[in-house]
Amino acid sequence: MKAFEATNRYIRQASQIMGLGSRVESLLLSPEAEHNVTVPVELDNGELAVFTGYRIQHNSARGPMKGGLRYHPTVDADDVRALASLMTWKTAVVNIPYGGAKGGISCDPKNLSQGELERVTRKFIQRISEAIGPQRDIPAPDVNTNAQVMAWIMDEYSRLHGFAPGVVTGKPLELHGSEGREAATGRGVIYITEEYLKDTGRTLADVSVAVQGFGNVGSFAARFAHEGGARIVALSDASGAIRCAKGLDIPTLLNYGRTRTPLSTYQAEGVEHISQEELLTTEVDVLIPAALGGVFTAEVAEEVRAGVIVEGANAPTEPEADEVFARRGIPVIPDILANAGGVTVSYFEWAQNIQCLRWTEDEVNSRLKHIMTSSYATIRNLVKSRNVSWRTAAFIVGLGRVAKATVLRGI
Amino acid sequence: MSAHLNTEAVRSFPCFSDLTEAEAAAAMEAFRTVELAAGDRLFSQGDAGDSVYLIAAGQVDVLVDIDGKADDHVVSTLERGAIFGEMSLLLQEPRSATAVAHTAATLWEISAAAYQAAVDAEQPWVYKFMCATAHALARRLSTLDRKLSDLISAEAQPEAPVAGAARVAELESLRTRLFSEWSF
Repeated sequence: MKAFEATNRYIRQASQIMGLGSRVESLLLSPEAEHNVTVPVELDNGELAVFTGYRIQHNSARGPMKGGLRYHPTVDADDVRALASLMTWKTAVVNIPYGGAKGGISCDPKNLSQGELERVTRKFIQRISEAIGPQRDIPAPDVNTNAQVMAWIMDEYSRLHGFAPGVVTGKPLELHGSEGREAATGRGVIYITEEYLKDTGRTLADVSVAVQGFGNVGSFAARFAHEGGARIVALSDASGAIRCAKGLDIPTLLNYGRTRTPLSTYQAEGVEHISQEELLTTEVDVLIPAALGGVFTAEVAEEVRAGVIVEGANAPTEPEADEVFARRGIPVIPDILANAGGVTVSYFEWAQNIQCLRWTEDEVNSRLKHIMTSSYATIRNLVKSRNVSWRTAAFIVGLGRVAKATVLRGI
Repeated sequence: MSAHLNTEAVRSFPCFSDLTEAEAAAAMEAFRTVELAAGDRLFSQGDAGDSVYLIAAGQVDVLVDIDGKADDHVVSTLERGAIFGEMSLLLQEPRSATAVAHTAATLWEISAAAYQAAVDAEQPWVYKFMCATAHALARRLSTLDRKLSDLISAEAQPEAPVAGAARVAELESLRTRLFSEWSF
């Protein structure tokens, strides 16, 4: 199933429960604008490469649109559209004053030099500079884009429109970035995990955790889970997966992450090398998918042996798999709640930028914790009172807030 | 050749009134006459045919089969000087309507081949005829536009306030439900 269609299926489920009606529903499903641009770049060898870039602006009813920018060969309009829609619901679920957007460039950054990457980024920003802005649409890091890329975006946009640090978030600390931004998504995932465990009378120290993906989200999630006392029994990156029933040595492995050393080269006593699918089907208390989308198909879902799934990645669960999890009674804390920590601290960064203020890391983290735990409580109450899945409850909250803003503003 | 067809008769049509004798004679050559008794069917909707007709005398009913049933609707009754049948010539499509003589009628018929030959020969009369055809088409379109706008306003006016009110009510009920049932 196409990603956008899958997202829309979740939205329709929630919309039907709420009785929004087909006209409001179709209004909420459709993106406001889709920018599709060509990004021509001179490569280091003098040849010309032309990439395709997207910025899809899904909904601005609740405020300026917000969403990451990913550089990946699989980026296409359908994918970006689905992720833009997810951003609309995510910002609404955590109740920050944003709409949703997403962007990407269909390219493989592994094959691009630093200079080429900079030229691609600057050209892309030139192409979409009229469509973004601190009060319009604010990009952020996503797959294969980092603080350096955000710095180029800020510089290029400022060159065209005047100094505007609030046009992009996830910037380096030295350039109007925020404390705690880099770790925010992973930290938020663990705050949510802790809240869920608290509801079932446990703490991190009582549980085993498996994390798929060792990028920004996965590595920080593994780190904070480990610091909270959890036993991390399985981890993976693009090179492969490792498993150790008595718990992996996280501090050592975090160095692998920092130095981009493949986990497949890791050797230690009691550590076995397994496939990605074996990681997902490992018997574990908490399973955190934190890589790309679509990893849980219906087939894989039948084999999962986890107490709870906390979606660190965006859209890791296909709708058919979601039904399997529901039937098997495995709760899935959805992406639009679980990984909303990133966009929440992006909001803090933007708020600091437009006020010319600087918050301490403690201030950032305590505000993040407050937003994540109160959002969790809202969804948990709905799960209990309406007897719906966590995902449906989250979409109900997201849809409800966007629909309210829409009717208040006037359709 | 019928007695009806002579240069004087040709120039008696307003569209041909300023043709010279020679030009009118050329026109006369291109047409042939068709005599119909009242009730005679000239052609039916859907028939193949590429001739154009000019009514020299009498009246012709134009009927359109709207809903696929046999009882055709008379959409107009044409009189002397009217041109009809040109749609099939221009579009090379089957007859879009049925033509039946309302009274005994004399028609001047020109085939597509004769028409094309006159165009190729740059006959002055054929340009007059073209102008008259365009004029007839324009008038028909203008009548149709008026009818369509009457139809739309007749349909829309009694219904629009109802639909609008229903929409407002639907939105109002959604608003109420959103802020009561779904407060979080």
